[in-house]
Amino acid sequence: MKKKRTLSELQTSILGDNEENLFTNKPIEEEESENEEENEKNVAEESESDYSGLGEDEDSDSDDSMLGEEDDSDGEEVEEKEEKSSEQTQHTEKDKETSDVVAKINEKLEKQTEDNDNDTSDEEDSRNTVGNIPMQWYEDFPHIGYDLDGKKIAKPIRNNDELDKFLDKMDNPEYWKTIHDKTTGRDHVLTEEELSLVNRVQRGSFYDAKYDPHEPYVDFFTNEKMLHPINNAPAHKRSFTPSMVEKRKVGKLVHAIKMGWLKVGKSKQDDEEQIKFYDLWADVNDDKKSHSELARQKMHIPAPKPALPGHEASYNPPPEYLPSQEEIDQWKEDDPEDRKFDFIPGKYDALRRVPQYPKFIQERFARCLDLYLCPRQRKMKFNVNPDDLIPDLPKPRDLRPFPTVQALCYRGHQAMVRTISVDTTGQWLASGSDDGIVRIWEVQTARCVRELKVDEKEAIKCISWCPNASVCLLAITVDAKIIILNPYIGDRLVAQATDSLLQSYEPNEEEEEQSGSKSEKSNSLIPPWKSVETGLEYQDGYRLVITHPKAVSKVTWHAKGDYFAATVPNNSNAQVFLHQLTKRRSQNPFSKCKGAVQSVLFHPNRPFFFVATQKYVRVYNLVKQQLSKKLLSNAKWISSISIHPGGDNLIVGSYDCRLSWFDMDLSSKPYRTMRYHKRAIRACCFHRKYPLFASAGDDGSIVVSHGMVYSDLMQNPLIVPVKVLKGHKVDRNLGVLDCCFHPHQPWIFSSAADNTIRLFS
Amino acid sequence: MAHFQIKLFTQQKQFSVTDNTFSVPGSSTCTELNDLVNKLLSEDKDESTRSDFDFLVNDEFIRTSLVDHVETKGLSSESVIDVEYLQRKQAPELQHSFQQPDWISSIKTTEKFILTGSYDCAVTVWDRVTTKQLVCGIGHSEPVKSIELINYNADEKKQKISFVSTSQDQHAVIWTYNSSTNQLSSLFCCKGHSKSVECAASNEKKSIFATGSWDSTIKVWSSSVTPEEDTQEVINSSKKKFKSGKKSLTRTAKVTLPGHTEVVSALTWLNENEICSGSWDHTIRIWDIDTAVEKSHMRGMKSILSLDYSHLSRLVVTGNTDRHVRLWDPRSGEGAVVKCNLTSHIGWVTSVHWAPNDSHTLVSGSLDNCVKMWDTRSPKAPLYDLQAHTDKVMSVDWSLPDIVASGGADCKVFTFAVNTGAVDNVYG
Repeated sequence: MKKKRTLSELQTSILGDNEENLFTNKPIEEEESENEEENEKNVAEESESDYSGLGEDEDSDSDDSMLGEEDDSDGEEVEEKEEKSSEQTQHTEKDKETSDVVAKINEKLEKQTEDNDNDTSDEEDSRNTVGNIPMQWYEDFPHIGYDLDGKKIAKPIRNNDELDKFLDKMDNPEYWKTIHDKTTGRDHVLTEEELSLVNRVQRGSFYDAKYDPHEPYVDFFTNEKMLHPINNAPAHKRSFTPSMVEKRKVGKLVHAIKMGWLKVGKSKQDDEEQIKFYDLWADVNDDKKSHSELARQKMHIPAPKPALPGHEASYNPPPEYLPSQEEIDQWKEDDPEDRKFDFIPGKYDALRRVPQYPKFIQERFARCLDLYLCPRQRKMKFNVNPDDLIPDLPKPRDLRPFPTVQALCYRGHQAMVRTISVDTTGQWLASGSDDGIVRIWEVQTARCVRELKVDEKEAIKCISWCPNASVCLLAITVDAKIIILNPYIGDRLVAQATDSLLQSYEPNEEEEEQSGSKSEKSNSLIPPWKSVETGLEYQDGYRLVITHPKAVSKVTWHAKGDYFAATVPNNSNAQVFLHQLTKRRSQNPFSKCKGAVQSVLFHPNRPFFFVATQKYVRVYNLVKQQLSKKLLSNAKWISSISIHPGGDNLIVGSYDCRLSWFDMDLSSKPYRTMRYHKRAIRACCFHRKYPLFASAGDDGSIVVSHGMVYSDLMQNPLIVPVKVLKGHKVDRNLGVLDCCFHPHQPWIFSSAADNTIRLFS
Repeated sequence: MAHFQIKLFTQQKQFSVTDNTFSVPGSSTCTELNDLVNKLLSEDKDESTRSDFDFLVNDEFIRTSLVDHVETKGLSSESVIDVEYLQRKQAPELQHSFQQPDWISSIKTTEKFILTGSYDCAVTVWDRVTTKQLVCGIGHSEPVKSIELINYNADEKKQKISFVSTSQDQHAVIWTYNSSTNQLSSLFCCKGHSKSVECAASNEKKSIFATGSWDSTIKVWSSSVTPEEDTQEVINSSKKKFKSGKKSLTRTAKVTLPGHTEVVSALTWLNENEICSGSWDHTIRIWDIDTAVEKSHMRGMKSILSLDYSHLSRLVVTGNTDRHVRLWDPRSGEGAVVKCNLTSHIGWVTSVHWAPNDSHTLVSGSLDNCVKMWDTRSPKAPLYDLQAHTDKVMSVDWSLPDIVASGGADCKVFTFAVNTGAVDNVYG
């Protein structure tokens, strides 16, 4: 601020010094006063800023400096006018050159004043306001224009003739720096500053003496990447549209290429034309590698590394590595293949004493052979998580209920129990053993309630309750006979009704005749029915006896309890017989039997009949009398079959330890084959209510599995083995011979060669 | 080893000790605690009589060390633990055993007699004291499955008792035994079930009884010993099923309750008109006799073989076709109805019976040849194993406070004398 003040003081002093400051005195005073006012203001500001701390000090300084600049410019103008006034008094002549220059400066000054006019500052009221007009228009007037107040600016009184000019030129020492101001009509003596300005202009230097062209550069934009953009305006729409100019250019190029004026692949030809340099050290035919060679390079397999030499290879090994004489002799005797090392370790007191290795060539050759014969094969390691290979099955504990522990053991049989069957209510269990005894047990308590000696010698092969709840009948096969027994157990009314049903049979004579005519040719084949009506056998419960030509192995009931089928193996073509209880009729459904029939089964709700031979299960449609399907089990010898209560799924157990699950809608091949038994499977069965099935085998175990069949046809059955039940002893290589589920409870019965029947619950 | 702050208290006033807090090591078991209590008692009373105690924390017996018990129960070891103690129940002593010709399917005790039903189709009356067979009556043609008292002090001298037996021959027979004349007579034959009658239960007033059968129905009969309207003369016609010529009267059921899907294997009365039944279809159903409708049912996971209700604890205990004895609360309708599993048997639990005078004690018989006495506050281990049978236990009875009787497939009846000491009637 002090600087500012001194500057304005200086200005006033300049003006004050000027003697002919007559006309401009007033405005200058005004200017002065204004300056003072401003200065006062500035002082006030300064004082304020004094109170307001350091940070603001700098700001106020900068403000002041700006003000100061303005002041400077104003000061210059004042000086100009001042000089013009002095021009009036002094008339001196100068060189033409200078005058020319002066004239130029004059023009410049005029322009400047015009420019400054636009800026308008209050102290320029002495300025001529006529504008940019030819000044000769005012030649005839006593004034040359008007000031801001509209008052006439009077022409200075002087004589302008050539003599005066000349005299002035001669006398006035300042003539050379005097210029004429047209607008005011006065002469102006250039001050030292103005002269220096003129000089600078002449030198081609900067107009402003204070301007420093080599100021330190202020870097407005930093080279560091800032967080925010300087300009956050979105990209202009134009930047997204493809450039038309480029398009035109490209179009021209494309056209040129099309017309053949421009050749694209030309540069390659140029390369070829270049001089060839030969790689002395390159392999011959380097660029023409065969496919296999390239492949080999790509699949680089490093050569096997030779074994590193050990202590024994040292020229001065520790003494324990040095062989004794016996070892040397042994080494010499051994075949080269058997030797531990292919050299004899030796001790030398200096490396230079070590003789030349005699087998160097052999060793190199052996190494070459190693390299040549090393397996050039990349081992593809296959990283498989073992857990991924296990199928994602539900946990057995989520699939409850299923039998888990042995609950009861039914003891009493003296020979192996070959067959068991549970009646439809689940209260009674019938079993047949090899000593020809049939026993009926109370399931709940393992109490034997009936014992029946059916045959002295022959084993009971198969026993089966009639599935019809309204009759109480048990089918027993012994030797060639099927005995239909009424054990008189359970509901007395049912037992009586059964008896009366059997008694009510009256042979249909017409049919008899018909069958009689037929039977002439096949009489020997149809087994005869014999009704037991009195005597000891009747009291034992015997009701009907059907005698077959050969030993019957299996009997199975139709779900409705009227038909039952018998399997008679080794009986040439008549291996299967269908019997009808109510009409006491038998038939041999197959005129020719392929293979040895192992087991037969009725479909639970449709007229299908399953015949299992050693390798195949054939499904016959009983209504259409034709073969409808042939299931290929991969087994060698089927032992048993069982059908899901839904009727679409079948399990087949075989003597070669396999249990195959057939989804008959899916395929004629097994949907799943399970090998959970170590020895032959003897029996398999489905539960009627729960999604369970089981298989029992000669290894004495029963494997219970969860076999869920979904009503959704798209969903495959879910098979999860849930429990291995053990308890039966293996006797004479025979384990569990039969198993069957309880009709209502998730329990399984099993009979075994150890003469027991066990219940697992 | 950590020490616990315990406070001892008891509900048996003759054994009460000072209300002090004791610090005992966590490893201490019942024996140490027993010593402590005995010491305290001897200090107070200057008596040298020593008695054994059992200790309860959170209504469960301490069977292992204190620290184990506290950890398994999830109690804080910082706070003072309230330990209740009570005099230990004395072990039941084997009193008598007597042989029968065949399996014993059911057994009942009265003050003077023991009644058994057996697989040789007979019901037998034994003298309880002398264990002599008094009389044997054959009224069934198939094994007797259950036996139930309907009136055992009909006259003042208690010489006459009447009971009902059910059998596989689909009938229940009402019997009367007169001890003065030593005469057993079958009064009525209850006909109506179409399959083996498995169980019978008589209500408190002994006015009616219910039977459950393999035909999955429950039938309610009158148990009066005098002929009623619904009884009728048996027409001795061609029907072979009734061979016994002695029986003259047939009784028909008052109410039939169908609903179970499988055999009704156990019955018990909750009160005068509510009956609770257990079945092989895994459900326990509660029936109202007056309206003959099912009031509620509880579903389990296993078939029920036996069932009993205690009026003291108001809980139903079931023996199942697995190794657990389960306690059910018949009043809670939905949710977790199994309150407790008593686990120690290794076979099906064929028979359960609550103690008549103790809300915590019960007895169970199982196919693993074992009879066990349980305290419901000790679910992991029974109080006592009564090992006498050599074959399946079919029936146990604890009708009278001082005797537990059991019968089984080894054709033997065992009676155990239960000491009804100071413990009795404390909680009753």
